[in-house]
Amino acid sequence: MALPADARKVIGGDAGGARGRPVRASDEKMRTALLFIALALFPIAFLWSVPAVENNCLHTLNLGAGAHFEYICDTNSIIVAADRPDVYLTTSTPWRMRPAYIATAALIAGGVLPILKVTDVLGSQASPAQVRGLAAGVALLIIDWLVFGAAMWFALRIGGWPFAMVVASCDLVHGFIWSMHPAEFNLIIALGAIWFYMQGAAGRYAVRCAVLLGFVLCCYQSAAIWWAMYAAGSWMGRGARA
Amino acid sequence: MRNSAIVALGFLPLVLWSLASTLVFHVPVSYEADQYGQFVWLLDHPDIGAHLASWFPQSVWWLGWPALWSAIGIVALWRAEPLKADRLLIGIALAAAAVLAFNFLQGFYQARLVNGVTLCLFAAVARLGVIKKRRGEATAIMLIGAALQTVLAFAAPSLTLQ
Repeated sequence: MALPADARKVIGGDAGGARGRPVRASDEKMRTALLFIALALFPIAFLWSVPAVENNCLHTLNLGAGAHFEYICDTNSIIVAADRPDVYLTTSTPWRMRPAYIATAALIAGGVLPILKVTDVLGSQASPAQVRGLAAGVALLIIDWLVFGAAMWFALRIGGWPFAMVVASCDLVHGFIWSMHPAEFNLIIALGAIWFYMQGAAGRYAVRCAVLLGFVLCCYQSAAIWWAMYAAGSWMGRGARA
Repeated sequence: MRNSAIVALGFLPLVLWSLASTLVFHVPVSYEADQYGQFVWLLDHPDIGAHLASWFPQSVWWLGWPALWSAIGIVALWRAEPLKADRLLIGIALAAAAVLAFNFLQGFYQARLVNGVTLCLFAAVARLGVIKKRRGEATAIMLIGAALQTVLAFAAPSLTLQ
């Protein structure tokens, strides 16, 4: 079988687009940054896509100028958990097995809260609980975008910029990038599985993969397949590395 | 083998968290299993074959037009010339199988969250473009796929929760 000799590179071509020409590191960084900005236009455009049909758990939040995003009822309990980590620790919650997700949301909300207070976004009539709730909601949106960034990172390494465009426009981004819901992690499960396989085949990054797996598993348990993929890659690549 | 064992240590934080939740905080850790029967549904439904037979077509249908387009792209690139077995292509197929298997065994969401398989199909297009030395065609297939997905995003809502 063909050895993945290019396992150390992207499988679908070069991410930066250097076609045999020497490329300066600063140019490469600039190009990658511009590419990320271009890819981010997809989720921003989705704010103006077709709104979901509302039901008892799914609501459309209008942002003005035709923009909107979907609000899933689960988000209520996520916001409560992120707002009150002490309560989250000691009471029964649907998000019990998402400790890293809740902790990250709580940490980011802690950074967002002073900004909201200073800018007085909700006005002077807003209660402290409302402001804290908004901070937690913003934190969940930031996590959605961090997951999107991770997906772009994986995609550029797996298949280069055309593949990243496929990922940026896919229905998982359309459906979940503005959802404030951990289902957004589905975006990186398949991509991460391929990337873990590539690292396993190349016999490298075991510790980094363990740390990444540990963190993402504590956010979303579907990442369990990443370990199986690393092991499969390791097994497939064993002859080639020997 | 050693590397796989190191990566398996990634399960440790979740295991420790489960133990802490149970033994220290005395709170249940099996919400998904209790509420939605995730994974444990298999115990009550031993006829896995019948479930698989109804779930698989549902999942394929759920993937929709982008998956069909990428599958056409894979066939077109595959047919270009004979293909030697390629480890990375096998890995992409394994990733798709793993996503499908996890989704099926999880049970509650069934076909609703198999969308990652479409990304695996497009990753296969990218890889085939490299090993068949047809990057131009592969790029065109992916860009048309991205355009198709964008058009679909503005034609119908993505979330239904039904």
